[in-house]
Amino acid sequence: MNAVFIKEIKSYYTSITGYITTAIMMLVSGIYIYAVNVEGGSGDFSSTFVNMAFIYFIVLIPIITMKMFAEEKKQKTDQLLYSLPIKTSGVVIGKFLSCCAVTAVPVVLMGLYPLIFSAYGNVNFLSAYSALFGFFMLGASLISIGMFFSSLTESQVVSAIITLVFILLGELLPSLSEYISSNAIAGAAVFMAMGLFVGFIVYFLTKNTVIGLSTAVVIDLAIAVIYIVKKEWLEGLLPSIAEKLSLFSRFNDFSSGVFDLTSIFFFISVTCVFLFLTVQSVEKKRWS
Amino acid sequence: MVEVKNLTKKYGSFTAVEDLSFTVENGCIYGLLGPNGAGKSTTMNIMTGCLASTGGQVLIDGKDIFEDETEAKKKIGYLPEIPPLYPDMTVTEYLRFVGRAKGLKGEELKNAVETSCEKTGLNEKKHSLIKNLSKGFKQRVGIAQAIIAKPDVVILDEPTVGLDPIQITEIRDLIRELGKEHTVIISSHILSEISTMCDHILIISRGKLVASDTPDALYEKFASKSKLDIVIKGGRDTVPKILSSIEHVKSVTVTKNPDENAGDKYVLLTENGEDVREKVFSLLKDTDCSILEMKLVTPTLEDVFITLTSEAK
Repeated sequence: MNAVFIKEIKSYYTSITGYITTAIMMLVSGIYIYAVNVEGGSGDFSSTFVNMAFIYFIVLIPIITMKMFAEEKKQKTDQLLYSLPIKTSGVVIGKFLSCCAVTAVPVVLMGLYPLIFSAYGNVNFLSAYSALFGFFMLGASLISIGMFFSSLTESQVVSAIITLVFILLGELLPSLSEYISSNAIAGAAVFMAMGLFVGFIVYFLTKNTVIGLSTAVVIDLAIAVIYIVKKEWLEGLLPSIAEKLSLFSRFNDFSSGVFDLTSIFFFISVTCVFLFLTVQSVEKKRWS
Repeated sequence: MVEVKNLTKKYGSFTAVEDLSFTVENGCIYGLLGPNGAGKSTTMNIMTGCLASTGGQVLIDGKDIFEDETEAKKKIGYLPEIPPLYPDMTVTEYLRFVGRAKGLKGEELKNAVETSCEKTGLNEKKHSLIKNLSKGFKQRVGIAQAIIAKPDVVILDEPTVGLDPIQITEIRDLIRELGKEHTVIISSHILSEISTMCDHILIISRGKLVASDTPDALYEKFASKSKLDIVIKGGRDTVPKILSSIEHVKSVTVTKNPDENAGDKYVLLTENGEDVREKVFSLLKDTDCSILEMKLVTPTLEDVFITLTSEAK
């Protein structure tokens, strides 16, 4: 794990990408801090961090996660990783931690702003730093998602695009779902479509038509049964689920200066689930 | 010691390796020989834990490569068919990464990088980026990576493919050197390469082990039947009888030439490599037919290889 961590950090900072992305991240945060806190004369940093989270991560996450496994597969260096005496989970965690460390650099630098501002006025440190911590945890869960997509493909570009779309949907879904009719039939239709999608993912991972198809059928049947038996359950379910599952709307709670433990727990859960899926997806290649 | 027991690997309905079993003793160079697609790489990938088998077991010093993954993998160094190199790293950085992953630290790691560079002749290229190295040097980096943690077993998959003749000789010498300290298993589809380097040859065809022995023994076993090509003019009725009556002659095949004066071609197969040229001459000198041509053909190891791998069909 150590070896992989050191290797990834080194490869990130011996190439120009490390410095450029750090600079871009500092630029993004600088613009937001200037607009909200300097121009607006506000000492409330938590809402600034919440506002910039989407732009910040949609740029950063695809860049740092896209090459993680896609590049290894393309260069055939994944064979080296398989033959080394490190467990797959060690490889995945080493890579995950290196991405976290790379994200931590601009985040720590951003932590200097409240300190600087406190020399000129009142700053609520507690809310600023709890929001920054939430910001970092949100980043960590997005990293695990990006790494999972990277492990599915051999192409960095494909991985980056899927991650980007996923982050975009995560941001837009809560507001989009409000436009979708909240009645039961629309809810059922969307859930059934999602069932098909899950079935497709399962098929993609297992390359087994029967398992993929039966997953989709089971989910869709369950939804059909719910629709027939308890129609009212499906009413308004979609927007509320989208709201609950969206990482970004989870993070919005931090803007009021509340340190939201359930959100932190949610971020950690998402990270664990996607790291687990990444390990499975990497292991899968060995069993093909 | 490496034990491969009843190894089977299936891709869907295609069987790449079928019930393969062999044992590799310490301190020898083993050659895995087979035509392209015979299952050499698959076997090596399974032996190094890069691929899961459908059935069977691989034990490295008694440790199962899947059950006892970490321990077993510490004992092997592996160079896959395509050297797994990171182009943006320097040679030293790369070797330090592999060494660290194999559990080396501090001074030990530094020394290991030094020695493996020394052994593979990489000293002058130590600080070059891997992407700027020639193919031969890349191959050396791949070998350096495999031997860095002084593993008991070094497994090299087609280590000389795509190199120029000078590089091939260099890599072969290097492998011979390695054989003094490690157990080496190499794979190749080139027989001459295997027979000059290896103490023991394993011939694989269509996923099955068709022969396993030392080069000399293989030769003894399969190449001892020598062949005699003769062209004789005249005596179409009598000559085949005379020839088959000679002691040790197993079979006589005749190819008649439409032009009688040009002579017919006879092919004699003899037992135990017996040379019957003199007998043929003394028996025919009193008849009215004349020997136009007589040639003793000794089969090479190459012929053995071709016979063995085509028999498996």
